[in-house]
Amino acid sequence: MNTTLRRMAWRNLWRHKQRTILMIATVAMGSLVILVLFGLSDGVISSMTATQIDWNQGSFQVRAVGYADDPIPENGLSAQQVAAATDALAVLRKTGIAPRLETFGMVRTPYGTDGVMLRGIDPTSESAVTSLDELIVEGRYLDGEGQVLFSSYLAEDLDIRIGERVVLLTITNSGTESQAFRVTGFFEAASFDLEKVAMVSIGDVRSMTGIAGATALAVSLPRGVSANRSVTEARQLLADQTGVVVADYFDLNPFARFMIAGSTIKMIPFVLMISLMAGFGVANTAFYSVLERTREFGVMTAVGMSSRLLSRLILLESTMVAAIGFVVGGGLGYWGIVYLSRNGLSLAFLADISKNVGLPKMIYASTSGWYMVAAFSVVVFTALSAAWYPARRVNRLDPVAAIREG
Amino acid sequence: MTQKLIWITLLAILTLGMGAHAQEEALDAETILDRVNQAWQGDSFHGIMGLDIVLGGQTKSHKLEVWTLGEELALIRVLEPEIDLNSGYLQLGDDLWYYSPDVGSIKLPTVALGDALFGAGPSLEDLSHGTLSDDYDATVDIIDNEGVSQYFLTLIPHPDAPVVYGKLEIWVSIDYVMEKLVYYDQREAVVQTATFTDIIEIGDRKFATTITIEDAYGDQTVERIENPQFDLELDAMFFSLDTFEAWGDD
Repeated sequence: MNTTLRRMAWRNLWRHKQRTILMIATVAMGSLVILVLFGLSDGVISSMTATQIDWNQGSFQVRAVGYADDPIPENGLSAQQVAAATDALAVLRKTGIAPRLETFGMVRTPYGTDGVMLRGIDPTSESAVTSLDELIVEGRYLDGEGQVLFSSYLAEDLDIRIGERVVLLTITNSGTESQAFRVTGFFEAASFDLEKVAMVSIGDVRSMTGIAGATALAVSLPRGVSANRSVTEARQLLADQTGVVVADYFDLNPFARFMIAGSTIKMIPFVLMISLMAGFGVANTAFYSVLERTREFGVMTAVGMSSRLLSRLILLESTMVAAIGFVVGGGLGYWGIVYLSRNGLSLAFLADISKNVGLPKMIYASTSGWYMVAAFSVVVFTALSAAWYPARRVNRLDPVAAIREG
Repeated sequence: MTQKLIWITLLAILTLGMGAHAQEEALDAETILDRVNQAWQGDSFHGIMGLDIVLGGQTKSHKLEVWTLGEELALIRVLEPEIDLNSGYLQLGDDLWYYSPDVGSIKLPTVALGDALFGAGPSLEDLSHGTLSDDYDATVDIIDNEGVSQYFLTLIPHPDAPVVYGKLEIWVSIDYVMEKLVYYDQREAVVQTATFTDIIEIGDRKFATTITIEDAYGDQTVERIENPQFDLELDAMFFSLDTFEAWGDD
């Protein structure tokens, strides 16, 4: 009987090809959107984290208390604090530790002026933390003072070329300090907030600002080492040092905390909405297909088919539609997120709004089996909601009335 | 735009030259530029300045009233366009304010003063106060321009000088009125040319009343000085934000 029922359901589906394809497409679209939505939203977070850690901030930073509230060099670590913190963290398992001195400034060229963040780095120790040297797309990495690296975006914007002299300015307590720098290289900014960072030797920023310390000590960790555990260990190692705090990834990227906090919970309304849309789409079509066949169902009941079996037939039809839709949509969606996880999605269109929140220029989708579960639950919901009312209607069918009605 | 307005106005003030030393002398670049500035230093000035700014083929016109006292005090009042009437700039030494009747006064960062004086380049003030030899190698030639002798100065910045230009060429008349200033980038292309024309004489002062600045993109700024007055009795108290507020009450 089950085989017969399955065969009947299958035949019924293809009696109205257009209607069935429409229902399959609705379910497929729901599954696809769910998969891509989850893949991309998790991808934004993981791409942002990887970009910031690998190319910008390191795994965590040691900073002075109060620096985050007013990030000016005067509120940074003193030279003694830098030395003491570096010594204290000597025992921590890490790949690199690099001092940085950052201050707001301006870059001047014959063709224009633009605001930049001057980031003073120690070229040797910095390359162990952020691999900035690997991002150089033209020219070469810093090897001494009086040299500057710009992002290729800023170089194009201000028409700067390798080997030319530019003037960097910063405002200090004693007035405006300006110094000539030779452009030695351009780097590809991995995130929008790096586009307007001018990388120079820390010695240059120290002489311009008159500040001997650093605004941060960036620390990077080997792969596989837990950042949370290392941050806790660093906090213990620095516990006896006053005026020093360890800023973890979330302290350095408040926007990421906001994004990650409950991101799965925030997705639930979207998933529900998509499920409802797909569910009602299929339910509507299924309902009309049942209405159309009222007379047919009446005849089937009259010749002895139980209303329970008829209900099962309807359920089976919906389940088949949902299963095909899930295979098609899930397959396409999975292919989509695998493609986006390899090739990435450019966020260039968000350039203006994402500059200050540390978003990467490219996001790579995440692939996780969990997304399939989410998509599958949508399909189950869709199939059940689509079949429930028509099945109930068929179950209560009066054969005589149905034949007359049809 | 705002910076360009201050820039051009103060540039004009600083380049008012005086023909005090008419004889042809073999001088160094610093002395020549000092003499170009001499007429201005320590004096008071009042005048109306018309500005025509051509940007991307569109012309915007402004009219400004300017007062200066010594090297430290300057006040610029916008007369036209009507919408900006009674707004302006106040310079007190190294401090610079912008005033607008609608929003009040805003103190501009000291960096703006650098822009105000000479864009990204050296101000004439810098050139004439002993820093010239720190930043530039300068050569002076006396050239013949259609039968008239001129000083022709070539300034090449030192490799580590905080100057973004590759070269400056300055033409100064034999009686120390600046006639032309050309900025080159480091690829030897002209970035900007300032031409000083319509030279008039008031008392023993001789200066250009029209300054035309053209940049590499063809954008142009033309400034005309009307009714220039020198050595007025100006009270230092006049150079205050209260002055702007008093205009607003008129």
